[in-house]
Amino acid sequence: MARVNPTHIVADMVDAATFPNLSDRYGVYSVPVTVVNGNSQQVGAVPEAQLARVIKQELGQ
Amino acid sequence: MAIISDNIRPDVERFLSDMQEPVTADFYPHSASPASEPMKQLLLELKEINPLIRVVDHGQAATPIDPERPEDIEGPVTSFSVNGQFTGVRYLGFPGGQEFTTFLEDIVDISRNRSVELSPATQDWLKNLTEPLHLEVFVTPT
Repeated sequence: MARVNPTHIVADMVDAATFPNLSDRYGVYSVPVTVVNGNSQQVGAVPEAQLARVIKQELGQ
Repeated sequence: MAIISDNIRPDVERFLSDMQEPVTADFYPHSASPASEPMKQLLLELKEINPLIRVVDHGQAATPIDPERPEDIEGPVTSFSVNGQFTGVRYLGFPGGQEFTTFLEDIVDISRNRSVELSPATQDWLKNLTEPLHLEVFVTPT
């Protein structure tokens, strides 16, 4: 997703073991989980449409 | 001791031989993280395997990207750019286990500017986004 619009989108893969405090802050207890703008979360590998829904909801669209 | 063992090096060479454009890995270590040295070594070994991978060691921790806070940067961060342009893709930590394959795939995809596997509608929507979107996918290297 980031590659489509790198000016506005950053996509991180976060190694939870190396970033335990960040994981704790977001309440990450299972992986994979996608955190959107530090708030909404989508657990698991889900279809594109589901992730897009979560993102749109977070962006208020 | 090498990060990429001799028995998998030929596979890594073969995989990275698909690269086309140079990819720059901007590496930001973290002095207190035990993952920093292995990550730096991994990047240098990958560069040795395929010189289309360029490594820039910035020698200091990454600047947080909103909504990250400074204290969230607790390990090494690697961001990827092509032709001087940030791709929007970063790796926080060390890509161990099964994450290593994904890491290599990302490098090759970026290098070949491969089409993203998103529907045209989603791509259009994302292209027209003008507000910041920060996606953080948490994984555990196994």
